[in-house]
Amino acid sequence: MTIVEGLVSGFAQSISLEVLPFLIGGSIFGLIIGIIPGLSGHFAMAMLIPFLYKMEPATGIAFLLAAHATVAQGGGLTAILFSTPGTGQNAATLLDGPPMREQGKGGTAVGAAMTACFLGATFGAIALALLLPILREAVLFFGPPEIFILSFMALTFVAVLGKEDMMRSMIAGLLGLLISMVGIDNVTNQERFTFGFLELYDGFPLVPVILGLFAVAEMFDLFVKGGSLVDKQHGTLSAVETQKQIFEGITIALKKWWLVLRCSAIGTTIGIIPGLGSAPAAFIAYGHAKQTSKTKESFGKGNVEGVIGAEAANDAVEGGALASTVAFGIPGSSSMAILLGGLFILGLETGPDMVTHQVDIVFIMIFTIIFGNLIGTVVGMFLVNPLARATSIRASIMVPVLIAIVVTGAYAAQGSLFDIIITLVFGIFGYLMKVLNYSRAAMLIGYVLGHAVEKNLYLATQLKGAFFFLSPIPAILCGITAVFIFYNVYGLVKQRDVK
Amino acid sequence: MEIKKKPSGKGIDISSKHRQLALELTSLCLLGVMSVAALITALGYDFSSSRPLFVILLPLIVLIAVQLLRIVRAPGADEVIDIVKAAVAGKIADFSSAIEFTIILLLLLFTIYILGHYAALCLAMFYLIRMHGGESLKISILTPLITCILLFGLFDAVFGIELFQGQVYRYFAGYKIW
Repeated sequence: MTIVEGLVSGFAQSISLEVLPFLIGGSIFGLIIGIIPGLSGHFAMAMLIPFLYKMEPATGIAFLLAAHATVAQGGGLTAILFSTPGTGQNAATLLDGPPMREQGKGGTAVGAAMTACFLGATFGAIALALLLPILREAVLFFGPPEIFILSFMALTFVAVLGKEDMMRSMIAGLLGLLISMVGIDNVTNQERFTFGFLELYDGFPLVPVILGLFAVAEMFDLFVKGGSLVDKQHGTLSAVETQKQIFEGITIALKKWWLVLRCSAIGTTIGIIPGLGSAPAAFIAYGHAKQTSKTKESFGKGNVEGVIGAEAANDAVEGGALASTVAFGIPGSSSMAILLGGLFILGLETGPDMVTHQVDIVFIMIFTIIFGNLIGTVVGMFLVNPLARATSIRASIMVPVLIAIVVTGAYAAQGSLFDIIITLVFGIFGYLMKVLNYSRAAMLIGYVLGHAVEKNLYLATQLKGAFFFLSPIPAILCGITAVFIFYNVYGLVKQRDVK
Repeated sequence: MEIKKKPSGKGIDISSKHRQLALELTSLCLLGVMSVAALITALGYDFSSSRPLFVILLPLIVLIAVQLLRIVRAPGADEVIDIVKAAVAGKIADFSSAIEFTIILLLLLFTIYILGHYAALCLAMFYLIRMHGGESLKISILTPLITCILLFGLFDAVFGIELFQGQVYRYFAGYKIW
């Protein structure tokens, strides 16, 4: 399938009547989840995963990715209106969003943030489309030895660059790989760690693991913390005044198109690097906006450029993150790992086959990001006051409702009570990891990559022997990984010596 | 050790850093024992099957050992046993809440098995909203009912997924349940 054919087919499928309702539904769901503090993008995706079993690929991708695409928009809204970022990636918006609200310009900040989000996401999606011809050529150089080493490299990047402690993240990544080894070995038919349970012969099922690690763990956290989700409720503006300010914010964001473009480029570039994610992208873009601004002194006191820069980079990350996930099957974040799991459920395989023969699927993702963000922007702008009320839901009501949905989703995936047990076990495990600052993203990526790692290790040793890693590309990748680890460990040791 | 009474008098609040240290130490010890047991089990597998396990388990065990060493050397590590004792005695509020939630989830699972999905969800939600959350009776009844109706509509009606009906229903429907 040529790129033009893929583009036309992807566009037609994205706006078809079968797909569009799910795209809209996913976008609104993601927006609401983003608004609720404590619930993040991977939570939104985890909640939707069980439904994928009954969906067509185009519908499932639109549903899942649209939810993920709009979470940052919802989070930005809460950061500006309540000084509580709905998700971690909106932390940079806190620097200038709330001061603008204090000055009575909350609507302007929301309008500018939403527009910057949409433009940033569109930039990232277009960048992914433009990268496709290069990716199609690049993947041809990647056989089993290269994919095996690349998987370890991605896992190392996630462990080292993630916000959690490096040692803990590496333990989590290896644990993820270990968990993926449970079940019958496809090559030798050897049972591994099944303890006689028939249900474990196919390994730990994906849906309960994802639901447990991300959804149930968050429920534990909300249950233990209890109380209201936002510390302080601020008075919302009148509907007319809000809309007036929002349009003003849109105009400002459009006028500052060059800033949006630069910050989006920062976001997309950072998105390509596994492990960094949206939060660092937003802070780097914020720093860049401040450095290049003519009104540097007003940053942190309510400068709209600070909001625009952070939000544009935030959403532009997705395009870059999708590139490595789609082309090599290597997810760089927990959300991308969940997306990869979702694609498996939908019967799709990432890698060379996807970028050469299923380009329409890649374009569905691209159009979903664009349309999803557009829907999120429109809904977020016009329903800002009603949506903000989602933060007033008390944990005492939200936890039971979400637990009911999670338990139902876990059972529905395969119709097995055993899956609920797995969900609960991984929920406890996920909560422990959250409390102890172990990277759940690294664990999930390890778990999702486990099968690919094992398959490619087997094929690599069969094809090139035990020293397959000495071939040119694997050797270069190994070298980069080793230098990267050494550099970071050296940095830590130096830091400790200074202390 | 920084131990102080919570204002509510519900339990004892130990500084989060020391609590985390104790929790991490006990969790890692458990994980370490399980990893060593997994490595020993893997020795009995066919080499093709155990090779990736060795590739994963050996560095994992080393990393766990190094992390344990880091924790043991950290200030406050000598108070771990006291903290564990306090946790077991139910004097750490957060830990007790997490245990309570775990028990509620296990009871939910058991109730699903006996009474079926919707009945169990209604009961668990009612308990959590009314008894634990202290919400009004109206909210405590309406929220589970509306949620279950929506779940039924979505899963049963839209996606055609029949949720577990419970052993009681299955017994009266003529299934052999044991």
